[in-house]
Amino acid sequence: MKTIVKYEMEKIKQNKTFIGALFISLFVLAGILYVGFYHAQLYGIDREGVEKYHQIVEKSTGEFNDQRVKKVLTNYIESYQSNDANTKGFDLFSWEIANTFIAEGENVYDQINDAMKQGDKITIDQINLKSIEEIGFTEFQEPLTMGSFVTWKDLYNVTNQLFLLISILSILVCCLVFSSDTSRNMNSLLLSTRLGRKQLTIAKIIAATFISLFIFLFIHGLSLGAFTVYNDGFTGWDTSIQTNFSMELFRFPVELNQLQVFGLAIALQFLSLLAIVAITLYVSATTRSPFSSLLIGLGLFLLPKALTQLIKRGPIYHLLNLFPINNYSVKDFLTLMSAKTEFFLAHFVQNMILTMVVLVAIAIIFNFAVYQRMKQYQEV
Amino acid sequence: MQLELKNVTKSYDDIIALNDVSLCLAPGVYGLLGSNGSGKTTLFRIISGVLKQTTGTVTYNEKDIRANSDEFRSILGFLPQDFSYYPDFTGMKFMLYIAALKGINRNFAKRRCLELLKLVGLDDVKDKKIKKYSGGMKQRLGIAQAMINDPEVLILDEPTVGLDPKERVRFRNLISSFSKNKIVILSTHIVSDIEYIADEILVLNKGVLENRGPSSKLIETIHGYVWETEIENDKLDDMLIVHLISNQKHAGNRTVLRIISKEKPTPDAKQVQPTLEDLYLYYFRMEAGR
Repeated sequence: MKTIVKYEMEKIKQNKTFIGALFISLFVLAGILYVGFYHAQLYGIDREGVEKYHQIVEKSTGEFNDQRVKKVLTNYIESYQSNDANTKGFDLFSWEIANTFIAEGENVYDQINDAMKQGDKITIDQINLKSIEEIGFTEFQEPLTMGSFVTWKDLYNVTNQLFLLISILSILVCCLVFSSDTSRNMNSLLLSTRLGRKQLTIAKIIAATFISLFIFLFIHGLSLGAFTVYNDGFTGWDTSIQTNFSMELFRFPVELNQLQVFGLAIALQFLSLLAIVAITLYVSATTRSPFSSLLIGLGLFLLPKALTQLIKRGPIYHLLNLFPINNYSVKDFLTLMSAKTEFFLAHFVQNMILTMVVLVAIAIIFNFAVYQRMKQYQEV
Repeated sequence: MQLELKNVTKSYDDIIALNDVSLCLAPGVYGLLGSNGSGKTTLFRIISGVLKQTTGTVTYNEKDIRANSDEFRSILGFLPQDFSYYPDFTGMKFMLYIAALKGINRNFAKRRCLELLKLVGLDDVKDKKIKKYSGGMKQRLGIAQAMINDPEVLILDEPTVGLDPKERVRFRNLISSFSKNKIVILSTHIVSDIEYIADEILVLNKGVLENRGPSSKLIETIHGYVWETEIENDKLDDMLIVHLISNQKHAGNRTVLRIISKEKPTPDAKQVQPTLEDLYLYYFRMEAGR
């Protein structure tokens, strides 16, 4: 079996379409990482934004309460009105918090600007701040933790984009596996050998899955590497997801920190990938050319997204939300799975488990269908 | 050792590709003669298990090959028509890949593959990519891969396509030395390939097994039907319309014709000894334009 898997992997690796797609994907990957991390909004114009951000985060990290919010905003307002070039500059961290807690919204900047024009200054006490309770942050036994969140929002965005890249690349790998042998007229030869119907099919499934998972791990590995450089390590890992002000998930009902959310996203993407691989392998086993296999594979991948534009309520909508294209985005799965109107069950954890079980079931069912089909394959 | 087909029929909607074929094969070399579309490839695909017959059974040593497909495939060697390959594999790697699919131990497979590549004359190019092989080399590789597992039943669909005369002689010798205690079935359009090595010839015409037997016995069935006559060139067109011509040789303003006909074609025609090629034309006259 090991030997056959090795040959099957070699067949995939030698395929010109795969080599071409891999080459293009490396450029796309570089683009996503560059735009997502190196060219992120946080860098600012003078490229020192990240450094300033971490200095501010360091002062602001800790238990999330009204006093800490007030302290952050006090520093923000002072810095905004300061003439010191070292402290001035766009502070995205505090700006997001101000957007959440300042009751007057954008008007407060007009007030501050007017005061500055008159040589005056506005203090925090002159600004109407909402309380944590007023906004409706979910409360748990332990208080929420505040910390770095902008960089994590960037990581989530990159992770979302990488999932699309990995999925398309994996669909391309898997669509070749069976249909390229069929289009080459290899089946007569392969399926008349002793291991050609059972072990060969299993070996092809293993090879395609292994390569897809390797792509998944490699790309996410690179992404994490780039993130640790960008984020100066894993600072902010323990920040509560509710206090990620960029994502506005204040009422998210489960006590999770940003690292746990990232872990969930990766686990969900991993299982989604297994399902995508299995479905595409089945398509490959039932079509006669890699091109038609690719078109059908991509079509099936994207179809649930298109259908949710047409069907926006009811059990079919709930069913469509189980498919990877509708829940791969971190914010999407966190919001969809915590709402009964969007998913089958009432609780986030239940919906997450249901989704994962469905994805694993899809992977098992379609891989088994591929095995059965090739075991009983008959030429026409 | 016995391969038996009983009332095998294969139909596609209203087209019958094989019609009630029954035959029993003991160890030996069998040449399958048939024109294009006569059902040769369909028959081979059914025996090799990649195509299911509509009705009838195929048994090997009295066991249904479909019910015991794993067992049967382990003693089967098959060279399909239009043999395909992986262009970026070397000849040796392709052989080792097929050996792995046949469940052969890697160390033994390596020795066996080298031995076979040498036998088919590919040992010096074994490390070259197959895409750089000539048509004849690819065909020899196909023949070699079919023999890796030392099969009891060897099926070769058009094995001599693309082989030059020297390679065909090498192929015939290889099959002759290999065929002891084995069932070898091969199809070809090159009648002489079968004539030299086949113990028995199977004549398949429009899906029906029309005749079988040693070539000498089959040739005997058209004894008295083959004639040679010399005509003037201007009468050649008329003769080509009326008679089945197996050969024509020009000599100045006259042409010597070899004619297959139950009746004497011209008053001065002389009976000659028939050959297997004449037999082929006799059975497959439609393909010959008649």
